[in-house]
Amino acid sequence: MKKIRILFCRYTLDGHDRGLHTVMRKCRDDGMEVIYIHFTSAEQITQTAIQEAVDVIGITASMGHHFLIAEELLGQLGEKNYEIPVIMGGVIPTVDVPRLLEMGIKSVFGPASAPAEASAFISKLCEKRDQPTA
Amino acid sequence: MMYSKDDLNKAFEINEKWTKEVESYKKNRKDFQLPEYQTDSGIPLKYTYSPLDAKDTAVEMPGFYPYTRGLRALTYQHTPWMIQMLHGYGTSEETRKRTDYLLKEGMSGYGGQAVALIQVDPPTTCGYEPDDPSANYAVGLSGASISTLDDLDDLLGGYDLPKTRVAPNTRFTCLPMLAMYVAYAERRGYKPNELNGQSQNDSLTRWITTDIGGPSPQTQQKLRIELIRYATENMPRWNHTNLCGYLYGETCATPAQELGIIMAQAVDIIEACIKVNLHPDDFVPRFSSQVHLGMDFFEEVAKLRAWRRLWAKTMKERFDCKNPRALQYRMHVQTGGSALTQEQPLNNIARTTLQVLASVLGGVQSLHTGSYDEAIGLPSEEAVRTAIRVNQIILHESGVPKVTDPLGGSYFIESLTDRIEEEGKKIMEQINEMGGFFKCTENGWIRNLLENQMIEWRRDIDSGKRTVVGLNKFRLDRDEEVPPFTFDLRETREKALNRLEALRSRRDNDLVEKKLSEVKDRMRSYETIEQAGILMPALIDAARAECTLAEMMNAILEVTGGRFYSGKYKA
Repeated sequence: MKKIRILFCRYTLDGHDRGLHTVMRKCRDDGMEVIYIHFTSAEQITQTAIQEAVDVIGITASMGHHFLIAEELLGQLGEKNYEIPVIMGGVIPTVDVPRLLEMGIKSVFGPASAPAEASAFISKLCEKRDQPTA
Repeated sequence: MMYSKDDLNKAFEINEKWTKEVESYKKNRKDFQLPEYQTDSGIPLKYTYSPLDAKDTAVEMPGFYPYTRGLRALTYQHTPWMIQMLHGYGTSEETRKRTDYLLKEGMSGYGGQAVALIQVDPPTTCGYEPDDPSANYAVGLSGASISTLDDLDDLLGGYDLPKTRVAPNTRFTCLPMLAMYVAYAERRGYKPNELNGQSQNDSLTRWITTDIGGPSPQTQQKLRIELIRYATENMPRWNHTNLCGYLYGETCATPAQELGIIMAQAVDIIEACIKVNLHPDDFVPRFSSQVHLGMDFFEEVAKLRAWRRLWAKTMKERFDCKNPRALQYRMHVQTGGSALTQEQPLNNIARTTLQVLASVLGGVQSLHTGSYDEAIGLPSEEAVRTAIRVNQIILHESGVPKVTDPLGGSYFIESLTDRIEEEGKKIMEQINEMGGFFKCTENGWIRNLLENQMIEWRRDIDSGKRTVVGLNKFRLDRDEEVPPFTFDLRETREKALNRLEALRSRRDNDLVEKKLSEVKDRMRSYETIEQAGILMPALIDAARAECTLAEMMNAILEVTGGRFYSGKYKA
């Protein structure tokens, strides 16, 4: 099976990275290839995702800006017609999760989740990738 | 403690008996294994302590060197600790409303003085204009957007400034922020020497712990020394540096490591200040710390006691300080936010109660108490009020503050205080031997240490070695849905941009340009830290001409280059 490549990103000015580091380490330990950028715009993430041909984008938000980020990033990906699953982590209120999913985020991993849950979810997302399309 | 030979013999005898009794648990109870405990700093714990563990403890009283038991002869009997709540969100207007609310509910400095410990948003803390593309997502987020003298007026208008403790909690922008505050106060008729408050002035700590891009460490150090020099010579009531142990704690430094890293940093920056011909007796008294308070209750109490002692000894022995104020280390505790859980958030009130109690038993001067909804988002009014109430209940109902250092003389606490002092000192010396704090920041040693411990902490949670109630044990089947406190981010940004636009069209922009180029000239000639003192007058002048915070910061960085040095920077 092809190695899973995942792009993790944190908005430049968001100084909360403790959760993100635990998830990145777990994914790496589980055999994935992890790319990590601090970004300043949704364009930068989109560009990087395309250039690096990653399978998944993981983004963290801990300052209450999760809706803004999701909207900009998903908008940008849509504009470029680039289909790629996006997952989110950080300090995100559980009541906000349904709306994020509705917007198109594949899953949200808040402070209550374990790194293994995120890693397992990513693997599962990529299983579909490896199945031949009928 | 002084024990007679007879006392110690008796203690030894009964201790032997006790040891045998404990051994019998192992023998007689087949399914029981003696647990092995250690503190968060890895100090092994006995099951109980006796005079044998505290026989070397010196007899001390509060208010006397080395201040283990407290800085003053009378502590809370004379003045309760300051209830200082770090707060801020949106623009200066929203933040002012929150300040007024907190003051009404009991936030207070010494003698009922008003306090404004203001958290600023990421663009303000780093020095980006609200309309800078880099600030896009973050205006008014997790702090207030403060960029002009008018913003300061919204925040502080009507307060009697010399009687208000003003502490904007900024990162790289401490120096231009202080320049703005001086210019603002001048506009209201106050002189710098009347002003009372604090600059955090610890950008290096914030930079390595949060790993967001910043100016090079050399530039940061220049701005820090400049601030210390200016405040020491012009603002005798201003606390120029508040070393931020809190962030090390939040990034999984153990209590002993927090102490050791902060002490190493203090030694480093004091030595740098001596190079610019400042005398330790003049500037050391205005150092203090924002201390992290975790969940290991007794170890945290012992840490606070050990911290005062290690500070006093280091200042006396290493820097030959004679001024008693230089030996008395003042501490503001921020209860550890990372101890709080998103699950079953009301449990967090129990956690912060323990944290505040440990702080009070440890004799701190000031406290910020976390709100129970902090792992959900910005704290609500109800949650911050409850955080204040935790303090008031301990202050007025529990009786705890009636006696200074009530745990002093406990065999256990005295022994643990000695051990943490020893461990903290070891780390301080280790860092000093590796070239000092600045060097260990530059080469990434501290950042790597923390990152590995963050990973380890999580592994201990996942393996069940460490328990966090509600997180890895005693979970509910379904997550509780607690609505977050929110405000309109787009509207906030809009408001901040409009204010900036209005300022730009109102002020004398030629004068602004002239003042900013003077800042650049001064920065250009500020080649080594020995020249500290040449920059601040130009910044104050620029602030008088209504240059914004970001314009001043950009002028500095245009000369020094870059703000994209990573906290994982390697020299």
